[in-house]
Amino acid sequence: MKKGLITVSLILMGLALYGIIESSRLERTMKMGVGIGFLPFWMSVTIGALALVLLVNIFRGKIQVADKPIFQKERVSRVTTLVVLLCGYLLLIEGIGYVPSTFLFFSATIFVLRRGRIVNTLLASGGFTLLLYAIFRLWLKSPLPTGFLGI
Amino acid sequence: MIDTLLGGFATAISPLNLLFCFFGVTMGTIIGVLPGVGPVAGTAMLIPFTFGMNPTTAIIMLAGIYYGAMYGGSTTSILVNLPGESSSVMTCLDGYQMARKGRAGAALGISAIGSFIAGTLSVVGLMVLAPPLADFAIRFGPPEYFALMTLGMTLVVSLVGESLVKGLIAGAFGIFLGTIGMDPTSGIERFSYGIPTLMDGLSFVSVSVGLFALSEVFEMVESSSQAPSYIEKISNLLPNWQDWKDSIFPILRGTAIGFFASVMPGAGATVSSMLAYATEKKISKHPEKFGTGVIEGVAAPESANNAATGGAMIPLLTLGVPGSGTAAILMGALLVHGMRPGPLLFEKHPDFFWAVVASMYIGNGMLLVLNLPFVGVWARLLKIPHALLIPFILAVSSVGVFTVNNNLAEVWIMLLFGIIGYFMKKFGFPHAPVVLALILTPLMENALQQSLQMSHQDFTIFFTRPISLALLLLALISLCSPLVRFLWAKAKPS
Repeated sequence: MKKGLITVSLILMGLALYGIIESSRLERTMKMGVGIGFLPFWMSVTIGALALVLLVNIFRGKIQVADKPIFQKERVSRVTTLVVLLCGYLLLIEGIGYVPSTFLFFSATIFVLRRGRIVNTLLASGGFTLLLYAIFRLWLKSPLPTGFLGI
Repeated sequence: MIDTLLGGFATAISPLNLLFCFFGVTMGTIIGVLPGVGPVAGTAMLIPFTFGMNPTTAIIMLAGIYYGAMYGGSTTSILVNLPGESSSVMTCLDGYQMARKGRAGAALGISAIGSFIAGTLSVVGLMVLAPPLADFAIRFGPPEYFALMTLGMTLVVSLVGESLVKGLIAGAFGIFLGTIGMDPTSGIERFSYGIPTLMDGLSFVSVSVGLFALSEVFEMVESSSQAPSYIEKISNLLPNWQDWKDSIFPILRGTAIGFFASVMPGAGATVSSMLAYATEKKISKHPEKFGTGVIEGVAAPESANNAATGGAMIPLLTLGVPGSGTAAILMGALLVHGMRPGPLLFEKHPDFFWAVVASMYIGNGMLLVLNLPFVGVWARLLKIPHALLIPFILAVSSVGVFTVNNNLAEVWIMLLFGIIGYFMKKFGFPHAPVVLALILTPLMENALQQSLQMSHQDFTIFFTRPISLALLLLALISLCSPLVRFLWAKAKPS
């Protein structure tokens, strides 16, 4: 956890540096009022300063950190798998349409998380897909992507 | 006031508003019962459902989710020892112990009745305090609004989360995010790099659903997917005479604590319930019994968290400063529907305010009916395996965010903030300041610009106007309060 917090502090300092550089290209002052670069510049400086304070507090032991690692390999792999499945869903949704992509997403996710019987997984996926279709398309009349399959 | 309230009831009891009030409180109860998705995430996820509704109906439904979740959260606290949402944590301490002793019914019953009494009294408080506060706030000019929003943000930053430094970083990050997009005054783009989606700035729906809902789901995935076991035997939901005698004053005290604590931005339902529990324990003749299954330990925090919903609406509706994470989401929803919360809301849309107040009375009544006889039904929701719940939440979130602007890029932004939110949780950075800052930054920047135009670039305008000065001093005090507490603790003789 300590290593992780140090990394986060360094990333925040990097973000602050980026913010300072980019907002320096914008006007900080104007004839009337403040310039458009005023708020992003000073917030970047604030984030950088606070990240430095955080780093100092970590080294001085003022921040309580747990000894055990906060990321456990097996658990992180489950989260990563879910993120990959969600990315796949978003990539497919405009290509093949809402209904098939949602059905595939549900099936894949339920199977990965539960590894139960395939028939039950497919039935649950079909049910949820239809439910969401009914809510968003039929009730709320939201336009959903149809893809090349037209559904 | 009575005439305007009756007018509000006339609007609130229209079939459409009644239906969506019922839908909102039911969804709120479900969200409260299911551990993982709290009222903030649930409200954010359901905002897309409100597009196409008129603003009054939309806010009636979303407010119903807010206070409905407080009722639902107690069910899992009492039956499973697992809080459905953060403001029900204190209820676990005595509620679960009561259930283990075979008194689950009494705990659930007093929780529902206490919540109803507290919710109703807090709406009375909202009705009484909001109009004069709005009248006072009419005197606010741009410097006062800037100072007020600064106070709101510093209070949220100092009260939420485990560390002031981390809260400040979250708040500053949120302000930075709020500057992305086209500046409304000059029309110049900031940090959008020609990407059309970013030109209007980051959508608060994408960011809040990502930060709150997706990060919760990622945490759920880490834990076991098995449904938790819960105490199934629930009988005698109506409290007996002794239970009433023991609970009535804790309910009233919890109501007062919850309502007044939550009027200040930052101290939402969670802090209110903790304060109420601690107070009851302190003044009890038998404090050693707390934690073993005393009914006061259920009545007080449950009343406080429900009273907090009415209190949190006061700064939101009268001053335009959200008092909690969920109130921040409600503010975003109001802005999306073209309603700017603040004192002018009373002038321009008084019917809206009174309809929402009336709907809260009706909603509390609905929740009492839903939660007493049907508590067994809600408890069964706990049997839904995470393997089914997780993809459902993700799909609803994704499609919901997509339907905001029919733009898939916003769903990718939601995913990005879901990942950021997951890491923020892991390292102890609070989410609420980010969303609050994102919503308030355009308004703050506008107020800052107008103030400096009024004063011809002179920053002392914020310190020469008494209300603005007072608010900025309060903001400074709230930021310095952890340091003051630390120095006081050091100075006290051991």
